[in-house]
Amino acid sequence: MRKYHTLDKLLDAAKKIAVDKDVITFDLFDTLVIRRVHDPDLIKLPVARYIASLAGQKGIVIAWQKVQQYRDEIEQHNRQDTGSKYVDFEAHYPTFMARTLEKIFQDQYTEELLSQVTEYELLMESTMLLAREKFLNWLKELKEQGKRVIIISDIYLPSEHLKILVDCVGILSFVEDVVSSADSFMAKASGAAFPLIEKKYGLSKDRWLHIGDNPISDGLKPLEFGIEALVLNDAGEKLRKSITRRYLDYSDGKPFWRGRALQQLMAPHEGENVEHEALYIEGYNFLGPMIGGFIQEIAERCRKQGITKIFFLAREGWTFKLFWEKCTPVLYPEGDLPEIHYLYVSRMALAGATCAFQGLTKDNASIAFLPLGNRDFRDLCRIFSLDYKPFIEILAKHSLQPDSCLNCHHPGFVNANQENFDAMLYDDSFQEEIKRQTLPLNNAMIAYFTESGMFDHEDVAIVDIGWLGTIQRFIFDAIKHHPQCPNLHGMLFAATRGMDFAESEKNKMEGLIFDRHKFNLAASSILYARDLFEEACRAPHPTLNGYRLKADGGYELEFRRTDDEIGKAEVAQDNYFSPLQQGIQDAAERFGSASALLGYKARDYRAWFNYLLSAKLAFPKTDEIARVRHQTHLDDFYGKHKPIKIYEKRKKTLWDESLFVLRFNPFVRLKYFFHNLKERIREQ
Amino acid sequence: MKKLFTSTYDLSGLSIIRLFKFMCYSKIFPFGNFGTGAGAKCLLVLSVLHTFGGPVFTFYTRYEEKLSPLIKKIPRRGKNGNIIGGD
Repeated sequence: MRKYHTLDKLLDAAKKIAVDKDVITFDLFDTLVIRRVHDPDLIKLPVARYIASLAGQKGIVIAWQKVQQYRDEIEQHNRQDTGSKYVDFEAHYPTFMARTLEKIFQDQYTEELLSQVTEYELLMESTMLLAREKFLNWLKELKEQGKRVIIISDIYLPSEHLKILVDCVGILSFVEDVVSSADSFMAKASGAAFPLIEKKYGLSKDRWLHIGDNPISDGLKPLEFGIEALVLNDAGEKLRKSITRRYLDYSDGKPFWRGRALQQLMAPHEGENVEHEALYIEGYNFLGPMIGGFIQEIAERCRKQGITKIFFLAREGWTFKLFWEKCTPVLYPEGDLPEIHYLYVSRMALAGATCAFQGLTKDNASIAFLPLGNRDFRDLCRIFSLDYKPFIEILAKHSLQPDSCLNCHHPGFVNANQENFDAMLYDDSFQEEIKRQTLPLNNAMIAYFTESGMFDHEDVAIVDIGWLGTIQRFIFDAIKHHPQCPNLHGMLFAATRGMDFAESEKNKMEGLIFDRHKFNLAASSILYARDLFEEACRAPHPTLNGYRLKADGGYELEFRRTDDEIGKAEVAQDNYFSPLQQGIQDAAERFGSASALLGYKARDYRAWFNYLLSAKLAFPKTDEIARVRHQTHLDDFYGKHKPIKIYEKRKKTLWDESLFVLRFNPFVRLKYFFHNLKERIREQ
Repeated sequence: MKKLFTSTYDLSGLSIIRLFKFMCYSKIFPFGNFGTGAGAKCLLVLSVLHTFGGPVFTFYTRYEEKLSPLIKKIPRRGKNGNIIGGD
């Protein structure tokens, strides 16, 4: 038996020996394929949780730990049974799992239940498995050379299950057969498997090479039988497993490491770990896990609060919805999740519709003047999709003109204008004209929302990236008159607030990663670079301009044009950030399987996310800012007027500093950190 | 162009050394709430593993049979807090 400490050295030797051999048999686990996790038994835990939740759905209350205990006991009995008849103490998964399920579900047990559980166990296994790239390449060569390749594994899964796993990692087409000890109860460990395989496949010992990782099963036993054997004792793999084990062990006692353990399990290996653009890496390693935590928290809250439908709001909701679709099948295999829908909305599209029944409120009017580029009644009309001409007489009645300045940040503003405007809001003729003009918008929007299922549920979640909650406010204002208006549960990635949000039983809002109403200094680092999250999550379609009522009573969605200067700039920006978005999407599936394996709740990752936000946004490397900071942020909500110069200057953040300052001023990050700290303390 | 996962099994852009430095500074400045924190021992062990783990494990696997009995003699604390190993 020859032992090799690196895969390269083993392959060099194996390739030389294989020249004189007709058949090469391989061990499967830790040889041809590796697991992302250090301990294969950990894969049993999400399966136990799945069984416990299936039992819960059938009215059986059982803790997943108890399920795992039953499984271990029954598997042990199964091994004792086979040990009394055969040399090896092997287990057979379908047998012991059926017995476990029978014990738990009793008269509710069905064959379908067993296949459901088996399917999930194999899914979890396959998400944690991957082929070793160098072996895979050699298998291709062996196939070309016409060598026979057989996989032999000592495991409780029968060969039909192993073939599914081998197929998932892309090896099945290169092998003749997959042999499992669970089928014959003759294992490599005792050496009984080798004569069985020799007979079954008509092999000759001197033309046979076996490769594996276990010095006894794959080294000593084949050697005793007369087969040449090579054993891989891979130092690199041992190190990888040792590191993974420590992350997982530490996360038990120190919650800080839970998010890091999650990322260790999400990490790509072997052939998956190829070179990527720096933006992709930011998407996968920084934003992906955080969006995953956000999505997991939404799912947990929806289950707890009985929310039956989630609306992911355009345009950032696009990324959230894709993430949800990729990660929840593994994370929540029992289903029992709310329906999801991507809702086309925008502030511009909704603003008008909000006025159809309640008219223009003072709060909504003040939202229009939040952006410094909006100055007068014409800007207000642009935002609320109004025609200003019918208002000229009413304006004159209140001593106002369409271009009277209504924003205190612009030259020409006088308090009287503001007072007159406020008085006009109480003028019935003004409000009637507003309602007349905006009713078709509201009707079109209601038609679209009805088709989207907004009014078919009692409680719905409104998921958006942030920040003030304006869109949710507009949605609620526009639908609250509807007899089937649902309870809106706003779940924002970050709620920066800034405007009073009138919360009620029917309309609630909370920031899940950051909420200004809850002191979290590390998470407040989001305020350094809000636009980054918008660019990273934005959907690949233009913004919605409005809902148009068709002659037949139906609706039409009107999108912003993409052929003008702003539209083209946005497309260019989307192209620039596409690797970042790809990184986020690729992280989704891995997040699902890693989080399912760890079994942590979203809140368990909070401490690590706080670190990510602080390290990447408040204390980023200069190159990271240079790569990720946005180029131009585009929004039609902002008007084109120029405010007074002192207001024009946007409040500078760390991310607005020049690269020279960022690189050579060692205290610049601390300076902004203390600014942020001061502001957060003042807010409390 | 970089790989997502480094050759020392660390995350690109979020290396253990960056975390180590950050946690050292967080002892001086109130950077925020990091739960229980990383813990000095955990940080140290992981930093050593990520940084010097390659040569250490190459040496260990090569002389595993000779080193294993020696390593078993080092007393260490088990998960339940009991001291295990050692003579």
